[in-house]
Amino acid sequence: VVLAAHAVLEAERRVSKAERKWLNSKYSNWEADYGEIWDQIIANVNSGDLDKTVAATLPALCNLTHLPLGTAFSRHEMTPHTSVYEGRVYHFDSHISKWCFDLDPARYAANPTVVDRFLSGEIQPTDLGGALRWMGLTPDVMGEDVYDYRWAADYAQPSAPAAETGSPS
Amino acid sequence: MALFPITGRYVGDFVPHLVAVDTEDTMDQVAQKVAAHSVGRRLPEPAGGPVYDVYLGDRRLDPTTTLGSLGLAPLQWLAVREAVEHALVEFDWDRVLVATQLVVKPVADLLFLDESGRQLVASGATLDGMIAENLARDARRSRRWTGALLRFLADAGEANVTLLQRYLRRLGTARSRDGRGRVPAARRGRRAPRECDRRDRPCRLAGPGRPGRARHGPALSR
Repeated sequence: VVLAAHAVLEAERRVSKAERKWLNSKYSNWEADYGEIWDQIIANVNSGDLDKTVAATLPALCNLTHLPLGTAFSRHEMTPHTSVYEGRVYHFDSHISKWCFDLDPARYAANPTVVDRFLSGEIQPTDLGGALRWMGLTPDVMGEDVYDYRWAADYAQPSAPAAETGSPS
Repeated sequence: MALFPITGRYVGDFVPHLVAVDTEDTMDQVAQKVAAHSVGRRLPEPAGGPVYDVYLGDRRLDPTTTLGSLGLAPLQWLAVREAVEHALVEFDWDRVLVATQLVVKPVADLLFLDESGRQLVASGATLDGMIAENLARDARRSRRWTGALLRFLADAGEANVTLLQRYLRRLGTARSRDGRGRVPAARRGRRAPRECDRRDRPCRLAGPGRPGRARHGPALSR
């Protein structure tokens, strides 16, 4: 379900210049956490490399929350939280999730994530297309960008903010 | 030769991926396969080209090591990051400042002046020890100058802080933090200075370095 929500959000994800300004005014770390990532996505959109704006594999998932690893904290604070239970490696999105798992590992290990199902062969064929079909995400469900990428055209001008190169002013 | 799933994290990206690699793959090949899901998609290619290092925990793996020889469990977390050697081929002034003054030089000074100075004194080479100590004092002066320069840049505009911190994160630690806001010890000679990448405060150089020794082992500390 979470992956499905992520995939659906793919179709709606956007950050126009105005939205970026708003995000930066509300979240002081937004630019540091996401700015560089959006700069690359925007560059790909504006150069027509739309295939690079979608995933080519599954995200690694937390074995407790089943959410993608890395989504609990800033990308700059990401660090592995891992347990080994009955010879298998389990990853968690935070030390809190790991703590919960370690209290009752048998209970949580019994609930495979989509990645686990993928690796065990429950999802066929074992490629991203197979995983998306397993979740019911056909192209008509996923759709394209609802604004037809008009939000990215803002940035196509030469004065794009937060450019990757350039000296401090 | 067998397919093998790993949890591949490209340092800088916001999510690790399920990456299919092969037990015969060298670390260079593993790095390319992990980076392929992030570089060019959500992060730009490193300025020095697509050359990466692979980390298992704090340990940088030899680029020619094969995955199979490591005896890892499936889904092992492997971190891939831009090779620090790129820091030595930077040409833009701002990148050079970060790469040398904030990343490479503090570690080199710590290793070759502070620590080797102590070892020289301990082994009876007093004169060499005194020379190293003098140079270490000079290195601390250099760090204070760098700190003053960074404060000057930070005062000149918030955009400077954002830009410098971005470079610092790119070139900084392999694992970022341990969840308590501390960075790993300088054991691999690759860490960033302590205070500089605290994102919640202006960029400020710390004084003479004593990297998180309390929690990360005695490695370079006395």
